[in-house]
Amino acid sequence: MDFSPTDEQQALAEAVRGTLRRHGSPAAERGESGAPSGHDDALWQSLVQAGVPALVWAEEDGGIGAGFTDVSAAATELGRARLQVPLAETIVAGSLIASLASDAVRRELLGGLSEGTALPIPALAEPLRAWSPQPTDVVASGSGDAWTLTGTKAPVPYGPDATHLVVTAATDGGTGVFLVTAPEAANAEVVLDGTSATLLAQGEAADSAISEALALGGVVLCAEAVGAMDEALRLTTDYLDTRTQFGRKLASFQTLTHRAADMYAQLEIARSATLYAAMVADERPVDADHVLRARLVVDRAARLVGQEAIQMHGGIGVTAEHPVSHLTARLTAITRTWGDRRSQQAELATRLADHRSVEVLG
Amino acid sequence: MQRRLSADESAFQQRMRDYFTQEFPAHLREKVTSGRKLTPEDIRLSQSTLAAAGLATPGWPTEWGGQDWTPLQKHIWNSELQSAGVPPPLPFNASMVGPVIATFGSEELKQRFLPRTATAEIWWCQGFSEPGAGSDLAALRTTAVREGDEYVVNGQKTWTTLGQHADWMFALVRTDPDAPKKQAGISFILLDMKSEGITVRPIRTIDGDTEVNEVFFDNVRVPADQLVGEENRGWDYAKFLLGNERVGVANTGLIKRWLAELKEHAQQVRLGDGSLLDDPAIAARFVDLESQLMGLELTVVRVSGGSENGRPNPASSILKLCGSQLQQEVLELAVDISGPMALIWDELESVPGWAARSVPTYLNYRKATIYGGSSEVQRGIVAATILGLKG
Ligand SMILES: Cc1cc2nc3c(=O)[nH]c(=O)nc-3n(C[C@H](O)[C@H](O)[C@H](O)COP(=O)(O)OP(=O)(O)OC[C@H]3O[C@@H](n4cnc5c(N)ncnc54)[C@H](O)[C@@H]3O)c2cc1C
Repeated sequence: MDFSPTDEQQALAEAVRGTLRRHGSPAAERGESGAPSGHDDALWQSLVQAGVPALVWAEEDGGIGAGFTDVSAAATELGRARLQVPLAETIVAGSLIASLASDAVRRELLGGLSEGTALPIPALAEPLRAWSPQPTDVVASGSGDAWTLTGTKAPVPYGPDATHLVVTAATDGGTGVFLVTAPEAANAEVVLDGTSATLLAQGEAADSAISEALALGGVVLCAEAVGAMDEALRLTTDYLDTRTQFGRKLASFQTLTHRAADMYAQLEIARSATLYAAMVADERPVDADHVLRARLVVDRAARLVGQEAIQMHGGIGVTAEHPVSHLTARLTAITRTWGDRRSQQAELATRLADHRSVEVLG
Repeated sequence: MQRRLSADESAFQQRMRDYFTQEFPAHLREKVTSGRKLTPEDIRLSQSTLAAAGLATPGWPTEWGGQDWTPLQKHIWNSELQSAGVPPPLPFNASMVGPVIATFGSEELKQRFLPRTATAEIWWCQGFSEPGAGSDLAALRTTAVREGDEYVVNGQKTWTTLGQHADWMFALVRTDPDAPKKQAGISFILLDMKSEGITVRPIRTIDGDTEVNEVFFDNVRVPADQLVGEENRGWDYAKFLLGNERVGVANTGLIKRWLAELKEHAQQVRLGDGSLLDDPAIAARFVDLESQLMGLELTVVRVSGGSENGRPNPASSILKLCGSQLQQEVLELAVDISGPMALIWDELESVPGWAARSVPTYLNYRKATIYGGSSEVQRGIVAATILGLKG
């Protein structure tokens, strides 16, 4: 086991950092609120130039054939830079396409994704339903090549920008995964009303592909969170070291510095779990439970780091004009994407009695 | 010790409940309980309505529209008001500048300001904090220099809540830069926000709202009779005010309403064949928060925090400390209950407003442990004044 990044990964992170810097200011510098930013195609295309969306897809499908340790390095830079792009989304959608679609569709979509011409986005969550990978409210009917979907998926971030949606729907044969081409969504709500769709898989094949895709997307989310936490801690320690009150630096108050130390401890534990999860994601089959555990580790760290970073900045910490609140906003969203603490704990709890302890070696 | 309310207290509680739920304008309460934003007109209307009923400023002296209530009655008033979703009176008016003018102001200032302060015909904002003077308020640098029968004010305030709507500001200014202690050279003055030389710049908070401002003073001329009390005694008045600010600061009534609403929301979120409220992990968090709230409310009644003879009761610090934390925990649970719906901030046809607002509200309320004396400052007060731990 070796956690040190390769030279290529360091170079990739550096290249992504450069791309993001050249792209310019995130929302905080424009004084915008912390609301999720919509799709920034110019930014996405510059990441396409840097090869980021292509990293994990096989070369024969038009990708680069690198791995999750690589894409994680890129995601961490996105988190640090406070820029939002549909990277984790394309990993989830792309992974379902990679494991379930026909050769022709797979090459077309993963190739298009790698070149920046296709944007497949997953449409999974159902409104007013607690997170579950199993669809309930969107139902599919049909057979063979003729399927239609009915129901509402929401929220679907990047839905309006998607060229394709990968949609989960309930079928008579269990969960179905479907592909909808050229979807129409004015906002984060995808209303399906007899919408025609292509069936990718049904039943057990669908369930295991969803579980794997969510694990892979989850790794990218963890990596992005680590970057955001890195930056939140950096800003906080800088602030403690420069802000003076009562004629002394805030850094002279141990009640604050010890809490910065706690933030660091949580962050490093989250980093270990994330790097490990990225290595796990490069194996097949993916041990999805290890990724769920990593997401729980990141959840705890993200809550602490996000909240404490704001608190130690005082009033300026809650403004849209300072980056720290934007980082916390993003961390809050990441930890509710495709699962949250409740759903992750509940899922792992169903298998708790299956093992004596959690082993990471071997 | 007595567990029950007396017959009189129960009757009082019923009277408050009847007024707030039956007589007070329903459209204003509806806005609050559905989480919509109140307009400045709504806020003024609410307070003038309460004032007409004698319910806007119960803590003031009776001759200026206050009520001779016990601390328990004040708590009942505040709880019933909050639980009915009545927009509370502007704290700047009702619990800050009003009591200061009533206690330390001249008869002329009282006549001039108190009636219109009670009704919110004058909207006040609080000009205490500055960029360099937050927790260390006594470091403030905005100056007021006496010239004839005027003060000339220069400097900057920040974090001025709702200053964009305010008619007047009460401010702490430095009148004696050479005072031996920095607390000793500070005065408490009243400024007309329309005065020449005042510029207000809104600061956007992370939720996208503009509820705080920077306020700049460039040779603003303030008539000397707008000084409250004595020159260079402003720090004492500010301490009195901050003690008052902590009355009702535990916000138990508000937290109770939030929890009740959140339970309804959790029931709307389906999980399997039931709802999120049936989930043992979510239910356990509700149970814990309800128990913590019970402990806090009982503590409010027990210590009935507030300022006595102008001296803040240090026990009120724990009410601010624990009340603000509890508010934040409830709002964090609201985000968890919204789950995947927390990924958007705009209501959709299929995603209700409460879910779409959960994250911006959660982020905005990180302020609760920062303003009005941060949690760190409150712990410092408890440690030094109650526990006698002075470093
Ligand atoms: C939404 C909002 C509304 C506000 N409204 C008003 C208003 O209307 N009028 C007004 O005058 N002010 C207002 N304030 C200002 C508020 O009172 C200050 O933000 C507060 O006093 C903290 O000051 P600061 O922001 O400068 O933080 P700082 O004082 O710089 O503190 C930064 C961090 O250091 C901690 N810290 C500071 N000193 C110590 C210490 N000695 N020991 C340990 N920790 C310490 C703080 O607790 C905080 O966590 C508002 C603030 C907010 C956020």
